[in-house]
Amino acid sequence: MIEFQNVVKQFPDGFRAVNGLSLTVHDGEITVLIGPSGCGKTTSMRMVNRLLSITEGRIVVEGRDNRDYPAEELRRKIGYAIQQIGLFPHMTVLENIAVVPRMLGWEDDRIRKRVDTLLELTGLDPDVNRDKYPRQLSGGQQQRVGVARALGADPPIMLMDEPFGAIDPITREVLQDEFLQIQERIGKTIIFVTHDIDEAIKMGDRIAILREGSLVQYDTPDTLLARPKNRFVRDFVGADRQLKRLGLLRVRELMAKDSPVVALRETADDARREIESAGVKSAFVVDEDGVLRGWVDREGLRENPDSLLDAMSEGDFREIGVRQSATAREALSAMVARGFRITPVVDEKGVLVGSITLRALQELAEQGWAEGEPSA
Amino acid sequence: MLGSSVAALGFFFLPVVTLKPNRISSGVPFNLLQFQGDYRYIVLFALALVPFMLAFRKDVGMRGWLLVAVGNLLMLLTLVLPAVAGHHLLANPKQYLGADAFIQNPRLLPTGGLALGLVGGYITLFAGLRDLQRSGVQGWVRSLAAWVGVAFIFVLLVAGSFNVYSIMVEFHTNGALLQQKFVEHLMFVLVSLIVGFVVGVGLGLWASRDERMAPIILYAVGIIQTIPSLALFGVLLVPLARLGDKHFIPSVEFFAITVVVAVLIGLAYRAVASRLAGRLQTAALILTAIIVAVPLVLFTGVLVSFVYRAARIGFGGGAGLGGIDTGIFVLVLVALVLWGARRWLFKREGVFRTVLRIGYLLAYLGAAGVFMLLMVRAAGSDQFLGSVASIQALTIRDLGVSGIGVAPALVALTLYSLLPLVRNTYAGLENVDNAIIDSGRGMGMTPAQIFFQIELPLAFPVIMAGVRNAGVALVGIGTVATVIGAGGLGDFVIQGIVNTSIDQILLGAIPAIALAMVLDALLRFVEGLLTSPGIRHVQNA
Repeated sequence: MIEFQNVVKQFPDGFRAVNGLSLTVHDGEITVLIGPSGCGKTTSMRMVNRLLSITEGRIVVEGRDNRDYPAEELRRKIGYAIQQIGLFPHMTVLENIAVVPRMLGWEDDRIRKRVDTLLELTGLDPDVNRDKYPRQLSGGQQQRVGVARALGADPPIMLMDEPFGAIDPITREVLQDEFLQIQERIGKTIIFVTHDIDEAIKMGDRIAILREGSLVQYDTPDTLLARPKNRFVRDFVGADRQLKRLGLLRVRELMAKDSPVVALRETADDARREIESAGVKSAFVVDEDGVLRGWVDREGLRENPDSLLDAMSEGDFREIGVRQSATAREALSAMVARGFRITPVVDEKGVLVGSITLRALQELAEQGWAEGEPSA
Repeated sequence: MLGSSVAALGFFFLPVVTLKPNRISSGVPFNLLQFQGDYRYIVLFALALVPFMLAFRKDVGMRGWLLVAVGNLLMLLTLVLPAVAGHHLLANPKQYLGADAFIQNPRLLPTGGLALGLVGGYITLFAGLRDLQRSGVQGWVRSLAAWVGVAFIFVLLVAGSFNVYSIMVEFHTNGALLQQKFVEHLMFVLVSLIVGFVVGVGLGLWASRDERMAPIILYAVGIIQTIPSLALFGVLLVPLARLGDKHFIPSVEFFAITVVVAVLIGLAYRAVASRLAGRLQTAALILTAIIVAVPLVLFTGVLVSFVYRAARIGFGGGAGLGGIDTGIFVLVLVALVLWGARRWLFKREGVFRTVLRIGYLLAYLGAAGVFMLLMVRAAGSDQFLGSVASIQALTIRDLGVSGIGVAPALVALTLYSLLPLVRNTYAGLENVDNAIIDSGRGMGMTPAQIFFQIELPLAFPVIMAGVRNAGVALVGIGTVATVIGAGGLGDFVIQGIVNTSIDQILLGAIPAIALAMVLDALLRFVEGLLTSPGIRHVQNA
């Protein structure tokens, strides 16, 4: 746990970058510091490992004032990754990642094993990359090494200053997803600085919005989007905050599991009976493995009353369905793009697992999330 | 194409050699066409014309090989054939020079045609090498092709085939003296480079740590650099003669006063500078820099003289290295090689690694041993501080400082080496990316670890470029040192000018050029060995 207690940072020129910040960073969570430039987010982060001194107040790291630790010892316990990556160009990937473990006096064999583990964790083949130099790697690979290096000696805490900021948007998405998966396994206490609200919503367990050195709002992403505290927060999270909220929910949690289904081998009559008994306009068609093959509606059955195969509209599950791991926002945009009011939900193999309606999403957005929030 | 025209022009229109009866008199020029009765010289014309025809070949690989072959042959034969003819000429010089010529050590002076032939050969060779590179021939094959002609020439040189040429004649009459002057010259360069390295890198470090001192230091060494070398030798004559006076203040006080004065001036500037505006600040800066430069010069002077004397006496006055010394020297080299190869070596496992570590340690101890031995031997010698009873009685003169001779020459040379060293050290350290240093700090590296593990290795190639610059420049400027009686290869050059003897000038100049090239190559090699592959060639690419 990291606790900011009335922290003030005043620079020699008199500028107050941080002005009485109080904030608790919970164990095992990613806490995002965000705000417009000059809001003191990076300054606050750099006071945690004492790259900057604290003018007033204190920062408690794991139960002790961080000024009670010798500075170098403190920093070795805290992983550090920055936007510019800052890999040492004259050292190999292995040597870069081994910097902190070496300073902590680990045995060579242990270091080697640790480096290989970290490279695998960050999606780099150790045998290929271990002895490369940074300039032989792409930007994305360098940032992976940067993250691996920050994790070098398995520190309980990590500070990340826009770690994916200098990378192209596509690679950034990939790295964000991968890092979330890593975090699920390692459960570090992380302070993550960014200026990108989408990244904050995606990565953060909690988001602290800062303005001119003070904390404006500190909440989970859901709460922040549903109930912004004031106009500044509302503007900062953007006019599309309702849409962004949909981006936080997974289709898996929202879908209806009792959608009408017809098997491919059944007759048109079976299909008509199924639709009428459910009181809906259409039903999904699946094959013997349960894989989505298309859909059939009342109109189609009227025109081709004898054959289900003729009556149904066929389509590949990748094109007509959404994955259950997709966000509600993705489902919404799929429905808008295809002109559907209802869309089938499939798993990775294309097996139909449920459906989601446009109406359900609309209601969610209107609800305001007053009830049923995960962590309110 | 160009090479071909240069060589052909030379062969057709310029004399290749001049037959001279002795060192001083002018002789009789000979064109290639005048070597009568021997049709072998046609080969040279043919060779000179071949590249013209080759230029129209399209297949780059084949053209490359042919050009390399022609280039090498051209260089080789340009030297060999006139030498062969020269033997005939020298066999009976009176036939060509007239019966009343005063003949002593007759010789052939290589002239324009020969020089152009060599240049043309070199250009052709170079064009060929570029073709080979373009067609993807491996590096070591190309190096071999580049050096095979030179190697042949060297073998022939050692075998005595070129003894007819005037430089060789001079070399044979002055061989022992040349060797001595060469060692002297080498000693100048090495001592001033080593002291310059210590002082220059130190100042560069200071400049990079203290941004307010940086302009003063850089200006100060810059000002020294603007003084012409000859003037600097002269300027130093007075203060050094005064310093070297027996009755001048003792050394301890001298050092203390110099340091205190320089530091005081620096501090005064720091205190005042921020309050001055614009042009006034610049003026104050330059003034301070000039004032700081003076104690800097004197301080360096004493330091250099001291090291030079210690080195001379320590190594037995320049005599060869004895048994123990050689052993320790070898250890130093081993230590360097091990250090350069450590990345590869320490990947090995088990006993091998232990053995390596022990060898590593021994080599380092050896390196320390050389230094200790040098100091102990120098200190124990009667010539060195033998007459000094106590530190208080130690005068600057005891440290080897005097007005003319080696001391002022070394001081001037050292001062000249400062600018590239200071500037490159400063630039190298300043150019280390702040993000890299920040992440080092963020990971918990101490300032010393950041300096030795990050900043220094990253700045190393730039610092070494400064060392090479300084070294090569020192070889050249060192030839001027002769005017204040310091000796070195300059002796031959000056004598040659006085006697209007080109042979003597060349006798001094050619070893100096060779020394500069070898020094540069050696320093490049060391630089390559000690630079991480991760940053190698980034600067020179």
